[in-house]
Amino acid sequence: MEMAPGGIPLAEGGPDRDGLEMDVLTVRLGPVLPHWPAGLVLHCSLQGDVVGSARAELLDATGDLQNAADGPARRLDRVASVLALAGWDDAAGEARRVRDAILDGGPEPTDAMLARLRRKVCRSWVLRRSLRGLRPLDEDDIDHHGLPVSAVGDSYDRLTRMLDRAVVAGDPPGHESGPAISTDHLAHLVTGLDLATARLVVAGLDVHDLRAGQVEHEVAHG
Amino acid sequence: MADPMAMPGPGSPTMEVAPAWAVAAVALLGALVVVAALLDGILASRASGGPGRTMSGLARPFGEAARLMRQRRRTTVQADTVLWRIGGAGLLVTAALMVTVVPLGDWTVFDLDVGVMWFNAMDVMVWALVWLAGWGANSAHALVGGYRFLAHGLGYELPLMFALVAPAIAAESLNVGRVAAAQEGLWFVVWMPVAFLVYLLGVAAFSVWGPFAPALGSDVAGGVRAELSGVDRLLFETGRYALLAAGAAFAVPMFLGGGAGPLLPGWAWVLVKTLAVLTVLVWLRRRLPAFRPDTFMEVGWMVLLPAVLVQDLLVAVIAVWRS
Repeated sequence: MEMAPGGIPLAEGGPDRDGLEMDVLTVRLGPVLPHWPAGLVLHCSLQGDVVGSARAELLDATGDLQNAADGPARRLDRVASVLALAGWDDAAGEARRVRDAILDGGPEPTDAMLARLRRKVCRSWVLRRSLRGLRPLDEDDIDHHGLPVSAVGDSYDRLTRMLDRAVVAGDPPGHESGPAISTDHLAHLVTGLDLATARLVVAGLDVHDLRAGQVEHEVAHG
Repeated sequence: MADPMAMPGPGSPTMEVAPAWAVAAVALLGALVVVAALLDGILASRASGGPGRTMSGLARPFGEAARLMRQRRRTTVQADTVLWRIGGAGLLVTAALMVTVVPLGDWTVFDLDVGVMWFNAMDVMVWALVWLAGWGANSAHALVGGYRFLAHGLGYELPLMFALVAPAIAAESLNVGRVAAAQEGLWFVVWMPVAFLVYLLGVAAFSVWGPFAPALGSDVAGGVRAELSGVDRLLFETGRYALLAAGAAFAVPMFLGGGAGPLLPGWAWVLVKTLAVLTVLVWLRRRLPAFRPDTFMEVGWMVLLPAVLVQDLLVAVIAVWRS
């Protein structure tokens, strides 16, 4: 018998990681969220705050994302997202300021600003602690999930790499964008993580381009 | 060594004032809240961009308060309204109850024999209140925020309790006035710095502040406060600042010698020291990324708890050796 107080069905129990039963909440992430790839929708089943299973889809997949000639600026946007999700608003604000400076033009001061930001980020042991070991990926995983080579390592590696590549300004757009990431694989990457780390992992992937998956199957944990 | 609990009430160094003065204590707490909010506003606007932003930072808390007071109250389907409101408004009440045992120089509102335990009981109450605020809204994001706070709580609460134990052992009393008086000549912060630091972390934690703010994270739409709007939200935010201020005020008699200091009268020194601690706490938020709730327990139990237990042991050995 299903009860629905106020028109919302009660959460049903489901097997949890520890072998016990826990309520399953269906939560949709996206398509519009701060620090989130635009258009990505993640249909999650949450137990507590752990993503038990997820299905990803892409809204408005025809959107032209390739006209972004400003590689470093976009990358700094993502850096700012990761920092904001890691709860470091000040550093995120600084990353956004560097991004604005880059978009405004004027190459000399931005290099120094970038270097300062990079130093600040790399010096923080709390940040390193919270990002180290998050969804580590090796070469095989990369091949399997169709991710760019720059995704090797854990979220901390990916963040520092993004910063490094933002420093190397002016690489041609599309040069290292690699293959578009399929939404199917994205769902795999966040399954079994809690909401906060899932968001950190998604933001930390240098996602240039998302491709709607061929198979929109549900990815379950386990 | 005498059991601190057995110490009788009379002979306490502080004087209990008439209950009506509690209003003044709350007003003082309110003033500290305003100062903390102003400070945070200035630091936030300075962080978000160049010079000349100080004025907008000063206006920020007042503008935000005015906005929230005019905002219509939002409700959610099947919200557990009673528990939700208790959680949202309770933080401010808890903070007010905390400052009743803090002596302002020679005066205290509530000269309790077990004042240290009283403070501890109040900070444990925050667990329930933040959780209820997250639970009551009947919203997945708020609920996740509640889980995150509890996960942090498991990590910070025991170290915080044992940090409070150290000054009580040294003073051989749980009366806050006596703990302050026991620091004649040497403040506890000097010879129990670990307990002091862990205490400060605990204050930030029960105020859901700075590195302990993932329960209110932007990644879960504001977490516990996701569905709080209007006056409810104003109360919740004020409550957080008030907890921060109350925690800073309690640090003064516990670690910073109470009203001791040259020239100024005792009450003035208490306020000066409180403001100093409060400033550090507000500033801390700018410096540190968040401690992830799912991994913080490891830090709490593997690093903070042993460190503060060793501190307690040292303090106890010194206290026995001195007596």
